[in-house]
Amino acid sequence: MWSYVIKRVFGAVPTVFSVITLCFIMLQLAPGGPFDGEKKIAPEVLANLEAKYHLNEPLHVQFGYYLNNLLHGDLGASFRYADWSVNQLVAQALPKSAAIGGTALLIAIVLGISLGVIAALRQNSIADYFVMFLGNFGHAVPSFVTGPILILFFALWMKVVPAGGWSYDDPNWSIVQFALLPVALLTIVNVATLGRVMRGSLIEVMNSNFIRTAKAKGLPMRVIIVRHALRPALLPVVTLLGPMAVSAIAQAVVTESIFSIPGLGRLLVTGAVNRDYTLVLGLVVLVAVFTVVFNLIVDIVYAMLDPRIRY
Amino acid sequence: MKKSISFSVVAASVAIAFGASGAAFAAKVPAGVKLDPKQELVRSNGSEPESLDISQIETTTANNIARDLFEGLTAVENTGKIVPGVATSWKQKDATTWIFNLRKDAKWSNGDPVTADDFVYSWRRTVDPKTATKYGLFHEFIANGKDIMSGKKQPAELGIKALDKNTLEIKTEIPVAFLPDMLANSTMAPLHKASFEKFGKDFTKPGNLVSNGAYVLKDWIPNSRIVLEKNAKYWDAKNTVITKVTFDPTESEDAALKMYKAGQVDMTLRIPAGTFQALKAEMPKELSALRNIALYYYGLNNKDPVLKDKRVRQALSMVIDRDILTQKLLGEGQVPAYSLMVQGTAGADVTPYEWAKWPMEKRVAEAKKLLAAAGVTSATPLKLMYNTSESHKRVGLFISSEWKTKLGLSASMENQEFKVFLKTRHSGQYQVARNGWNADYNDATTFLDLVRCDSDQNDQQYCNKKVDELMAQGNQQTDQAKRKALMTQASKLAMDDYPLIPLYQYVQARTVKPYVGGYYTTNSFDRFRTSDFYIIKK
Repeated sequence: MWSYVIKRVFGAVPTVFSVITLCFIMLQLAPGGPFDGEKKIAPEVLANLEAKYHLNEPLHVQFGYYLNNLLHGDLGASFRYADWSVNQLVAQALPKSAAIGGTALLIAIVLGISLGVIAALRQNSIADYFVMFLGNFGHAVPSFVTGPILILFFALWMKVVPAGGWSYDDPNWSIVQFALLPVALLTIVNVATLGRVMRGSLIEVMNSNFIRTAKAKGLPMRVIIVRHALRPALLPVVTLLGPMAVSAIAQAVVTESIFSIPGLGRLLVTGAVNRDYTLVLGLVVLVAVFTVVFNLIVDIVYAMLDPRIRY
Repeated sequence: MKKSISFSVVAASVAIAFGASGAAFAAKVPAGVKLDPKQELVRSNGSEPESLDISQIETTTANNIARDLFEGLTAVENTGKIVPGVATSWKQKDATTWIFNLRKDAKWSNGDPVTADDFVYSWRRTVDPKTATKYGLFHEFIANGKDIMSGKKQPAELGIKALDKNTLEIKTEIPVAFLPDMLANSTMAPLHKASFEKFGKDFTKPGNLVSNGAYVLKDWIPNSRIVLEKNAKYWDAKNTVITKVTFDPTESEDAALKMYKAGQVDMTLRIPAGTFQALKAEMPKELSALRNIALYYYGLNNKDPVLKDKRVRQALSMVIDRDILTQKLLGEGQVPAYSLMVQGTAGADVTPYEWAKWPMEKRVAEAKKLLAAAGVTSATPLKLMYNTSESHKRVGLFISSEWKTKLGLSASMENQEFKVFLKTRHSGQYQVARNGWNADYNDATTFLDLVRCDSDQNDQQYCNKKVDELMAQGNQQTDQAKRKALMTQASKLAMDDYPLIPLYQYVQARTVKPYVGGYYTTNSFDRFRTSDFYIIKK
């Protein structure tokens, strides 16, 4: 299996490289540059700025600079935030996003799978309808609607949590209270997806031949589910978890904006709006690496769940 | 409001010599007001500042923080009035030479004295091409600024000289009547050389930054908060009431308003579009609007085949009912605009169009005549562009419906993302485009730049040499009345060519908690300093 992991890691290098190249080109193609504003800058001033950031050199030279820095673990200087490097900005934002996204994902996995199982086993019962209603609701109502409603109810009316922000040493609120609503919002969305997939997958497995065999052998239902049905039914759920983890951690754009969380999602939005080339590129590199890593973990978990898969 | 503006201009241009004691101008707590034992303020600040390095800042956000950290030769009180900062008095020696006397008790937060050399060092560093500043004031106004930035001269040749430790001589490129107003800008503050050279690019980090304003940098977590604490070494520290101020960078106006309602912030930067009336009903005492020296207008491409005819441009401008636009559609206190200058602009008069007073039927009839004479029919295509935003869209829909119902013209609408839109507009790839101008110093020239021939800000591709001549003549005047007459004439001449459609004067609406004292809606440039605020006993 180790040789497989090593092969995958090396195989990811061209993928990540292509992503960076493509993103670099696309950013350059986007009209408007980092120094455009309502007040136009004089040509002399613009020339100084472009020289400072190497923007006056040909594209391939700029790309060379970028790759060279990247190899040294340096994501470059931010075009927008003069006092911070992209590394520093990411280092500040990543732990917050990981804490919120990670917690939400864990809760969503436990809840989503449990609800999916209940719904599958009690098909067309009240429990099933309830789970499906939750699932459809989570999907149909976007988080930019759910989020403000949560704030209105819990922060403004009940006053049990703050309306947004993130602070470890706030005199009025604990970090758990700051995290509560954003984690809840991210969880709702993911529970919906996971629950629906789990339900469908388990129903299909329960109708398959080997379960019928187990039933014929006279095994109790509990044993059939836990020992025989659950593992194969989890496969599609695990497939989902890779991209879901990436988006929960690095792309929680809406959630972080609504709750004013200083995470990666907000950096990505402001970076794109400001044409902060290096910041956006840095985050894309991060997302690409995350995607590769999480997909690799998913593949390894596959082998653990399904005896037919071996590397 | 008008009163306070004119006062500030008088204060600036007459160059009154102020006494050494600053107490008369500082806080500010009215007699009888009981102060809260906890003097801490949280200000919603709209976004993460681009920098705290004064040579790199340009946005309102960064300036709000820098104004608390650094003090220039002059400063702006919360009423909007220009007051002495590090300088106690100044005088204009000749048309382009000014002398500033610095206070002897000004200190950096580490105890070092603030000297004339700190200003010289700071300014020279800012104009150095290597520093690559984005801010244009030095470039436009201080002697040799432009040549230094383009590498033709050395930074040492900049028009600033320390005559002695406490006296500065400043030379301007052209006569700049509003220099004291301009010097309140954070970019023109001094720099602490020793700490800057010691810490290099990390000199703005908490613990490293040495400042000379009323506050020092305590904590800075990007996208999360910036915390400043009272600077005990500040010369006017005894009159500084707020001991700690936190700047919250939440971008979403909705999120910021919710945090305000939840009591997490004490004042918002702005309110979400379309919420003014609801907030007025909900919290009438907390909602206020200050009039900005800023114009919302529609740019017309003067080289467009249809719009190059002045009669068409005039007709399009005449039929728009600014009263309905400002009162019914916007309703935040915006002022209808019929000229290039907005109310409160120094250095030129507001010269509204004659037809602004006419009844609408007469305006429409006249506009129809103009269009007919120009050969424009309902089949003539028109396209209106704006940058993506709900409020710009509402204004756009209103304008196009005015043209449709009153003139029978159909204008299609197109929106673009902001930076894409800027490119489109600057390159003249449009017919009619939304535009706005926020004066960065209080003088008529900032608005005249919108119609000056080769100005970077002139997206209309409009050019009238006579306007430029009048401006140039005005700029050479040292007699303020003569200058004003020439600038007014230039503005009127340009607007009679209808290069653009003025629509309204911006307002800045925000909510401020009733226990925050020291907030004034007369501050039309929205330059508030925390040292003038105080928390009333809750």
